[in-house]
Amino acid sequence: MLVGVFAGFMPGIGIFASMMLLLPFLHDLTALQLLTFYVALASTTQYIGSITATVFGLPGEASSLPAVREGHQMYKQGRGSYAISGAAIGSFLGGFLMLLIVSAFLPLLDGIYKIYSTRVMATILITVTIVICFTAKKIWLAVLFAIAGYLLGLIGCRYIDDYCFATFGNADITTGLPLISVICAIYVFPNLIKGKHKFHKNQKIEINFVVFDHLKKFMHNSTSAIRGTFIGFFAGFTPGLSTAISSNLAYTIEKWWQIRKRKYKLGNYRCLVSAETANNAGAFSCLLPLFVFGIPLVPSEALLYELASVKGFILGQDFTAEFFLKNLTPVLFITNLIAIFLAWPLAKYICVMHKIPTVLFRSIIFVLMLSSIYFSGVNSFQGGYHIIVFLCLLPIGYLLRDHDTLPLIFVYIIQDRLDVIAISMMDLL
Amino acid sequence: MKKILFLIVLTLLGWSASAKEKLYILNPSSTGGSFNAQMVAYAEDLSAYYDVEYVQGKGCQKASSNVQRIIKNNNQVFHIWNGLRTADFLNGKNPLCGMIPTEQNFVNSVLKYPLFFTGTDGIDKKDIFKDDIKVGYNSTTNKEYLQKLAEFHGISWHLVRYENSKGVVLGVMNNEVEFAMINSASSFWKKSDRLKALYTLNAVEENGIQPLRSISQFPGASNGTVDLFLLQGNGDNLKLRNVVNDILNNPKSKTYLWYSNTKGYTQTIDMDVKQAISISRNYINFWVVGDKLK
Repeated sequence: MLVGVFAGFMPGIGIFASMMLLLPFLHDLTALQLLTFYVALASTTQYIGSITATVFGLPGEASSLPAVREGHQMYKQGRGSYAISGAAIGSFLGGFLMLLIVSAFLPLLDGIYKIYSTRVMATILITVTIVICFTAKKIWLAVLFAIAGYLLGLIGCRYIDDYCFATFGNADITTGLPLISVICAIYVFPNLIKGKHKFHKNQKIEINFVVFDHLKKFMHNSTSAIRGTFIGFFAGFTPGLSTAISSNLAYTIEKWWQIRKRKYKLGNYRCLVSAETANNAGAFSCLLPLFVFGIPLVPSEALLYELASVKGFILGQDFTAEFFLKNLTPVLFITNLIAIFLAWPLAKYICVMHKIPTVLFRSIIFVLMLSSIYFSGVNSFQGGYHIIVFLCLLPIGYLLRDHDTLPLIFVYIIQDRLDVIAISMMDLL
Repeated sequence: MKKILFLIVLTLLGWSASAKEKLYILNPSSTGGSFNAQMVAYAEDLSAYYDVEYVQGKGCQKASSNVQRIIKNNNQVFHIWNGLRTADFLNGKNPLCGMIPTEQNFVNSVLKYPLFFTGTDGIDKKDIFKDDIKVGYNSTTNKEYLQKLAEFHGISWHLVRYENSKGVVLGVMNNEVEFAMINSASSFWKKSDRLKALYTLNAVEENGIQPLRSISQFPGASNGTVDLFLLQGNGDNLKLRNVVNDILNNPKSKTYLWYSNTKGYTQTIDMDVKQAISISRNYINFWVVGDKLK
């Protein structure tokens, strides 16, 4: 859990990098200890990541984009404590509901692989893209952004068929544009410079920390959390995207719903709660194909699979319903319980940050952002490349500062999967 | 004062004598694949002998560039390399992706045999050479191989490309294709309770799987593939080969455990180094169309 706190707080570090840093320690664990470690790490990262996104506006992972947009705006409006408690309670509810449902229907999970047919995956990806584009205020602009996102994602060499686009013979560009650089330049930076950070002067900061008030506010908006749970659970099965697709889809649907009811304003509590609940539900469903069927959906799961198999424990073969209920259900429950007690009270201390002058605050975030971008490329000798891409895209981020760039970022993230699925689909037809 | 200086110099000399040699370990492929898993295990075991630094390559072109960068700085890098990438290079594709095993860089290699498989209730062995059957694959090399095999038997298959061996396995399980070909049988063995092996490209029966050449006269019916383990830069590859030999024979090492839990890999570490290089080159040549390695 401590590693999860670290991975959640440090943007760009993520679960995989944390595991790589701790490899010598992980090799000494038994298979059960490894699974327990991973479950605790994955859960805690989700809780803590939303604090970094809310306070600093820096997304630890692509799944934190809604928290950057709504949570950070709430923080700027002086409602940061509610943003953090809402995200924490939502994450807990999402995890807890999923635990109950999955425990009840565990024997039925044997057929989970059917979700991974090319047709089902194509339907999910296309539907999500359409939902994200067609629920935007200006549909034509969202479609244009989506096309731009696709083209940005296309830069580099495609693993499936070695097709290279706009690489200009540069080895760094063959690996594509780094995710963290693109997100920080086009999504985080515009959010950072948007609006003024004046609450310490002329705005009332809600430092009220009566637990009951926070619970009451959450309960009042619990329908959004329940919607988020179910959307997040199903979207979380998408390989390679998982929590990114869960939180962004739930966020888009909730935002569309709020706009229809004419209740949407930037810094929307319901949108944040729905996205964060979906995030944790997605983190949970992402684990199921690995546990039940031995299919790792993200690199960190692949590493866990290999580490566990070295210990003679083959996920998907040695994993049983009894094992899950007896060993992992209590771990998941306790981890979520501890994580909420770690994340929520931090909201109380966040208010101290408001005393920092705006210029200094933004400068600190910018430096933090630059260092995260640099260090995320160091282990492949790409620190400089990450920074160059970020700086090149910065003017675009500035020009787009008054627009919602989520369709661009989202399609950029899923471009790779869209191509893979499209190639398989064309062969199948 | 002189005594203190002497002690400091002595301590520094002692420290430098005990300092380990720097060794970069590079994974040229994706972080979620078996290459990363093998290199991670090696990194852990080799850290007892070397001052290890782990580097990600993110695809063959960037990996090649990282290797060059390390060499330029007078360092050494140990990495895995897919022999099919070298074959592609020799076939005129991917000019930056050719890593050829030589006596100067060869440390070890692992021989693998591609596999044809289907679902537990999938197509029967004798029915695979029929027209318009859907066949899954995951690399351009395999596509070309399957086209030639079908052509040899006077038929045409409907080929379906997947991202990786995991995608191929899921395609078979979801009945999208009648059967599929993968280069490394390890993906098959991970799901062997839900899959059925049809033929191996091993010349002889392997783990109870019938060789393709027992039913086909196709010249490439027993084409194996090879994963190379190379040391580039200023290091001593034979010294590293001895260390790797110790690691692979140590039942407590992470690398030993990884291989002992994965079927379908044959090590060449026990062979004479020249013989191991020659076999590895032959396994690359299986997939080369024009001028072959000598």
